[in-house]
Amino acid sequence: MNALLPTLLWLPALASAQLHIRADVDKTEVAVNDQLVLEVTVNGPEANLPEPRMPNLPNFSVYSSGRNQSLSIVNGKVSSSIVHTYVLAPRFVGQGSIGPIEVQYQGKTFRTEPIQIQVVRPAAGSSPSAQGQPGRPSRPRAAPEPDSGRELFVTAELDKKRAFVNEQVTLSVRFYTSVNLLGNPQYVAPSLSGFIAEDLPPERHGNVMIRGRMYYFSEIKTALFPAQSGPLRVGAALVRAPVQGDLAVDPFAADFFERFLSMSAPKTAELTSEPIVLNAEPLPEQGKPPGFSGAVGLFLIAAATDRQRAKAGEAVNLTVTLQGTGNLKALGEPVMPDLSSFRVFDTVSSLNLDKKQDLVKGSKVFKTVLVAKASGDISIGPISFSYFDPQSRSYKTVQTDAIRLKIDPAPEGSQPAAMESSGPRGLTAVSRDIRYLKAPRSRSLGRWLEHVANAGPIHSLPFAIFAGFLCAFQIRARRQADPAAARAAAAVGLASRRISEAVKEGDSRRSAALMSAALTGYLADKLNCSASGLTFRRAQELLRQRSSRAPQSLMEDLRRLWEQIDRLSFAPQTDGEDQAGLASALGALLKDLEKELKR
Amino acid sequence: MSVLLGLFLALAWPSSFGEAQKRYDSGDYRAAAGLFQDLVAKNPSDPILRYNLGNAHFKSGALGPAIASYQRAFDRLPRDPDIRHNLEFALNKAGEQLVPSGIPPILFRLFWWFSKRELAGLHWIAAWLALLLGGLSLYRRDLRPRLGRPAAACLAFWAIFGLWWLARRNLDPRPMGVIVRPTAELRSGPGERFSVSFTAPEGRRAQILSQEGDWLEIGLIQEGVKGWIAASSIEPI
Repeated sequence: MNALLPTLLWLPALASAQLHIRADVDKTEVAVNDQLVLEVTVNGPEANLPEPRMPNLPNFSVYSSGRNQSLSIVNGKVSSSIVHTYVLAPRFVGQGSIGPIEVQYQGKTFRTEPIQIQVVRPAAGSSPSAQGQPGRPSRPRAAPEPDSGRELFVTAELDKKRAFVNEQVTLSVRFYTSVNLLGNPQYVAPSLSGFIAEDLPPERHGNVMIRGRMYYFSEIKTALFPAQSGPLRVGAALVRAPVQGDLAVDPFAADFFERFLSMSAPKTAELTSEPIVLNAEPLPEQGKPPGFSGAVGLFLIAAATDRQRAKAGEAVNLTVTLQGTGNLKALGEPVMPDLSSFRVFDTVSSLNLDKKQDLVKGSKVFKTVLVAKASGDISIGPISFSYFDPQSRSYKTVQTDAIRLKIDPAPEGSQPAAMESSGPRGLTAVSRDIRYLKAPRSRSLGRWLEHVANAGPIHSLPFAIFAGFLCAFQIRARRQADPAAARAAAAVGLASRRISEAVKEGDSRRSAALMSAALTGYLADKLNCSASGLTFRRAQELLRQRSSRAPQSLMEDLRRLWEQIDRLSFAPQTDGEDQAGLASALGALLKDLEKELKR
Repeated sequence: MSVLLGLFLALAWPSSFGEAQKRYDSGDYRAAAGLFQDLVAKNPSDPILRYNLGNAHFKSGALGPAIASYQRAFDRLPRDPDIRHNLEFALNKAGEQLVPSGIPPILFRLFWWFSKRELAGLHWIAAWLALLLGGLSLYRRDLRPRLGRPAAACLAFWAIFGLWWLARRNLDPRPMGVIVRPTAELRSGPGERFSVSFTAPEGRRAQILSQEGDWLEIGLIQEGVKGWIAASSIEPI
């Protein structure tokens, strides 16, 4: 249930419409040449609270002096308080009223109680000069050269002629008068197209001597941030001042009548300043770091979590604070590190502005609710932020240290943070990492196959075997195609085997029968006739037919051997020597016959 | 004496997998990498040891050597899901992908199911069987009805595995290397006098095209660019 809290509490429906607005002033009675500070506090249940709408305040000139926001996230519940500060400069003596100040929120209007202010004449002897707390004291600088003889004039100037995009430039508009005014002057700000403007209150006043004439001046400062590069024009500032008509005469002239006569009907003098052009330089492309979001100024970054140890599923608030000088309103969120180990809820930001010493500075706080998905030691960051420093004309990157969190396992029975609250539950990726070590395997198919692949010359063996099979197949086929030739080719081998058997045979008759079979078989195979019943005469005829040039001696040898074998077949048992001699003679005869038949 | 010293060192040196695993589990990844390196030196053909070495390198922050080890393991055992996952994970860190864009992952997985050596082994087994069964069925007419189909199947496998092996041999960019230096510089020629054309991140795979002294000409597979790099900045696979 704990893990669901952040989700549930973030639902807009639960953001209660409880909003409070309150207005306070530092004083309720103020001199016409003095100022008062108005603070409007808006409290609400979310970070982005609406701006208060200031009512029409004809008795005062109103300047925004910044805002201060405090933000808290407790168990995912956001509450915010923004204090808007305004400086009010009275314009007329008398009773004035501030308010009611309104703010619209979720279709409802919330308003403050009106505040009554008494504007009085300045006390005798009081000097309005060098006012301006908390601003920079008005510096006694060289006054501009007014047109000779002018009692009223307006000047406008920038503190620099060139600036980078988004770098602060301060515009000072001064209204000088050497005559008594019939009321407070009305200031109409110049057109500031191409700039983001920020008031720099309070209005400053003082006296200055110009060409021997004492002038009273009022100064209004505005911080400008060029929004684009190129020449940008600051329009003419307008001041409407109620004065006595016909001011051509010297109000300080000693001639009473002249002065008296000059006090004709009052009129409104409209005074304008000269327009100014600022050259806004683009930010250099060289060295622009990745993640740079356009911040220009000088910044520091800090990050912290509200605790260093939590359980999985519990919310941890991560606060990243950017502090420095520059256009804080336009400041983007710093580059967040990998937060894949967390469920990350929307980041809310709060802004605290301070405009002391005519510089827009302060802090912007980004708060993010993180819910750890799993236990373990988790490191957040470092978180970095890049900005352009106009002083050094270079990009700089600041970063925080890494934040280490110890996340303990969630208590048993609690809902895992990564799971949705309803619907079928599945696996949720918490983080990605390499897989763990593997135990070595002694045997594997791959290794066995590698051994086969590496066998080298052994692989010629199946080809040789196949070639043998192929040869055997062809030989057999050839024999089957010409049986006589096959018989003749095998004749000598068969006869030789029979002769060998005859030599080994102990029985002379059986030996003679084997030799007879060898001789007749050989002749029958060679001459392609039947061995059974083959006589010497028939054999001789066939030999003569086959080889007409067979020598007579060969025929004689054949006949003699034939007879000897026959004799041995029918003779009584003889010794082995006769068999061996006969076999040897038969072998020699077969060789001669083989030679003769091959011719 | 030297034998005794060698025996002592052999016993004292914790080169077993268990010891390396202990170092790895305790977070001493550099020591684990050293021990796994010893094991790999003893058995260089074991893809699992190469995978473990890659893990130790990765955890110690050496992305280039990790990818080189994973790649070697993948070359030998591409169908292993752990090797595949870790190589893919490390390549992603280096800004590269294992499966080239435009190729369906299932096709890539099938094509790289066997290693090249395994394909060669299968090719030879099919060749053996096809030749023996074919020869026997040729010679023994009586066995032909029983051996004919298996012999034909083996012949088909012989052709398939042979063509598969040839395709892999031609498609795999070899010789290959992995950049092992953070932000290595690729120059327009073999020497520091040539200007730097590109910088390449650690872990990026490259095809080694030629060598000139201590300089290698490489082509980056993903970007399709080539340049010269110091040989010490790249680990050949």
